[in-house]
Amino acid sequence: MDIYLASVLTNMTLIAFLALSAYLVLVVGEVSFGQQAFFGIGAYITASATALVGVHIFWGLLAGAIGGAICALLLGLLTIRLSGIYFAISTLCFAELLRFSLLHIRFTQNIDGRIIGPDGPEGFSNIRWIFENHYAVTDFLLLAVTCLIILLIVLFSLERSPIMLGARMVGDDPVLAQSQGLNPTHYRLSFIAFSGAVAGFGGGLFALFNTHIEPAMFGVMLGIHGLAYAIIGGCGSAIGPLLGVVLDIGLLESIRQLAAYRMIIFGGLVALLLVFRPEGIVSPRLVSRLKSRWRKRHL
Amino acid sequence: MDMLQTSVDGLMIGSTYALLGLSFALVFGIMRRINLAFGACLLFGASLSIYLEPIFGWGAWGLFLITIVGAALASAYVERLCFAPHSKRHGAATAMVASFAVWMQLDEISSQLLPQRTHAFQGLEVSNFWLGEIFVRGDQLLHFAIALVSILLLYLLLYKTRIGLLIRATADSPETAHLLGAPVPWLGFIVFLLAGILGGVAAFMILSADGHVTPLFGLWSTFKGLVAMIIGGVGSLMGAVLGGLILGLVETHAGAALGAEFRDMVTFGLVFLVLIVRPGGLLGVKIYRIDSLAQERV
Amino acid sequence: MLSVKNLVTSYGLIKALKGVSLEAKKGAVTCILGPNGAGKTTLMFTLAGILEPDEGAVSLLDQDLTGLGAPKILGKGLALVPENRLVFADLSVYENLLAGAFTQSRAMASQVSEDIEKMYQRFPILKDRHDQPAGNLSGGEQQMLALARALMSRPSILLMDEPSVGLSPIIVDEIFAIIKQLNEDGMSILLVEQNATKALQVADYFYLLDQGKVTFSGTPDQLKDDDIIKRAYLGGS
Repeated sequence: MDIYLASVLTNMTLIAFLALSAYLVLVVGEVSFGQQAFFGIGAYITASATALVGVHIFWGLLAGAIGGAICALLLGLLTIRLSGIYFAISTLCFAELLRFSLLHIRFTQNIDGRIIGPDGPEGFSNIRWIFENHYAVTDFLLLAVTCLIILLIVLFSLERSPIMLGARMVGDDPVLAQSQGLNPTHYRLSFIAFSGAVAGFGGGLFALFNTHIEPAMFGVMLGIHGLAYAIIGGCGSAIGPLLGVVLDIGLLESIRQLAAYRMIIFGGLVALLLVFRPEGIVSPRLVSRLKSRWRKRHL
Repeated sequence: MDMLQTSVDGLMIGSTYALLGLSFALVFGIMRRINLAFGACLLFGASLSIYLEPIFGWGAWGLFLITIVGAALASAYVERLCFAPHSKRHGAATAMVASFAVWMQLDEISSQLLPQRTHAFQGLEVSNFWLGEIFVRGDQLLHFAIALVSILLLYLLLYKTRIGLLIRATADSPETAHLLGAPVPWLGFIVFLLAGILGGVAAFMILSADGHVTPLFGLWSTFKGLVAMIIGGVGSLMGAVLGGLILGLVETHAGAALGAEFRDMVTFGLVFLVLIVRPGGLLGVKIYRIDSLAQERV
Repeated sequence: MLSVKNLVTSYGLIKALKGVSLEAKKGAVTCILGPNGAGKTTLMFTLAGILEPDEGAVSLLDQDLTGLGAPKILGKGLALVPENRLVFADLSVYENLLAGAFTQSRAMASQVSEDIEKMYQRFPILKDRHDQPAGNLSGGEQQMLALARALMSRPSILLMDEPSVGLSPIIVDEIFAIIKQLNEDGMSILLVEQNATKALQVADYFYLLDQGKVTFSGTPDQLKDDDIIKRAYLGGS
């Protein structure tokens, strides 16, 4: 496979993790401008685990996911009383504060003649596990896609379970959900933590692929793009964020002449689309309609 | 004396934040909506003014005018596309999302108009002077005066005119206003224009004080406006003004004491703290849920 | 004067009004009684133009009001005093009264000032509190304000949705005295009330609304029969 194509596909896969993490927060009815922080934390943790400590990427990625989850849980606990724009702004602040901390962490070691470790604004270089273990670009792509598919399988099977139904109810109308016996806070916290894990995992993959990370890479705009894909694709199902990623990066990136005007077209189309389909492309209503049609045909 | 100097500088920049906050408070007050594309509208106005400057050659006053007009036009566009179609109670989230998409769009349009990472932005040429031991930048003082005049004009509009009464009544209770025959959708449009104009004024002042404009200005000004509104109390006009001034003061003092890097972090920290401890802001307004089926005030 | 024929209105999928027909005669106090959930407020909102009916027709003095929005209906002379008053809490009493005159054109400015003076005369308590925020007023005072505000639009017919709700008996008596006075001065009134006893004291004619339909109509004399009052309160038999 052409290296350029493999890179584009890998980037799409990595962003998909970020978009899915934003999606998970949307499901419980909140908007987060801060998922990029968990992405970044995951990146740094995985980088440290594999490059500094020297563990296998399996443990490195797992650590990244757990780190992302813990940070997200912390945010969730601090913002337990907040919702709507208040919550959204607090996620932005939290993310920037986290990024700021990363700018001031310096812990480098000299391993085999290379400087390894987080070095403040300079970032973290030489995250070379992939190369030292002779993964080609296409091998890594396969790894990333496999992980994504596993995540999607988990999300799809969750879709039918009471957990997801409960979460969507909480997202739609927490007061009503509470009257039905659900605890909105539990759902919020668990889904926010889950979203942190997903973002952290994606960040870990990102660190391994890029071999160099720095705090500037995990700024607000990254998170906003991930959020955009989730919102535009629709939060009716995990397919939605993927669709958003594919539409933007896949379709429009490939049309070279339009590359410069990508967001002008995309942004305008999205706003227009929302006039006619207010809940995004893969809206919850569409999903339930499709499901019932499927059920009728197969029963 | 340093403290006084810093405070003076802080109030100057705070007055521009106050205008940004007012823009958000106006839109929120009347429509219970947040316009995420606000900053992008301002960036568009500023970019347009620089782009057109060689053609008109009016200098700084030309930039001022076109920034305001551009911001107002962009705001009208945003209102028509993102807010008017979703005016029912449950349309809040969709409207915010749509404004988010147009934010991206306007940002990129601005990048097309101003391709470089940073562009010079000419300000009004006013001489600087000393007030006792305090150094006063002439242009910043002029900006402060303009901000005061703008706030005063807004006050007169809202409290002394018929349309101002219509706007305030609709902000108080849209349903009741509709019952009494107020043209609620049209009022929403007017308020968006107002917000765009105020924002344009603020944008010109901020950019000319800085001397340059960068692509991040959209995100930055949206954030500042939202923060000013939140610190003061969401939806309250007085709160937005107070919030803006306080933000300016805190920011400038933090920058003076700790350096530019820490200045931003202090802002983020302050906002985060306010949200966690007292989301209703300084004036302690009731928290609004911008949400589908929830009641107007939680 | 106000003629309603076969009005059907839905709230989402639920039909709240299932074909309501009634008449409010000029110069009369017409009363609509019924239990909670009968559709009384839906009826009022439909007549005032806040809700759009699915079927049916509404006409005032032979002018068709069906499907027109609230501003136009107000302009044609139908004013609603909504349930729970709905005053503008942050605006002053004076500004609330001004708001009632939104549909009057700007040319009528002097007339509006005269009308406000008339309101101050009729409701002296409003004059006392004219520059206070309406949110500071007591329940009864807010009811008077809402009433005065509706009168500011110079309506031909006044609709009132449960004016006695949340008020103490003494204040309720005051309000109904004002209603009676307004009627004696020539105002046609369509009144929805839970408090059947008070309502029947001022009514010239009444309708019983239950589950979206008119189940009974007549004069207060015909209602001396206790059974029917019980039906008004409890609905069904």
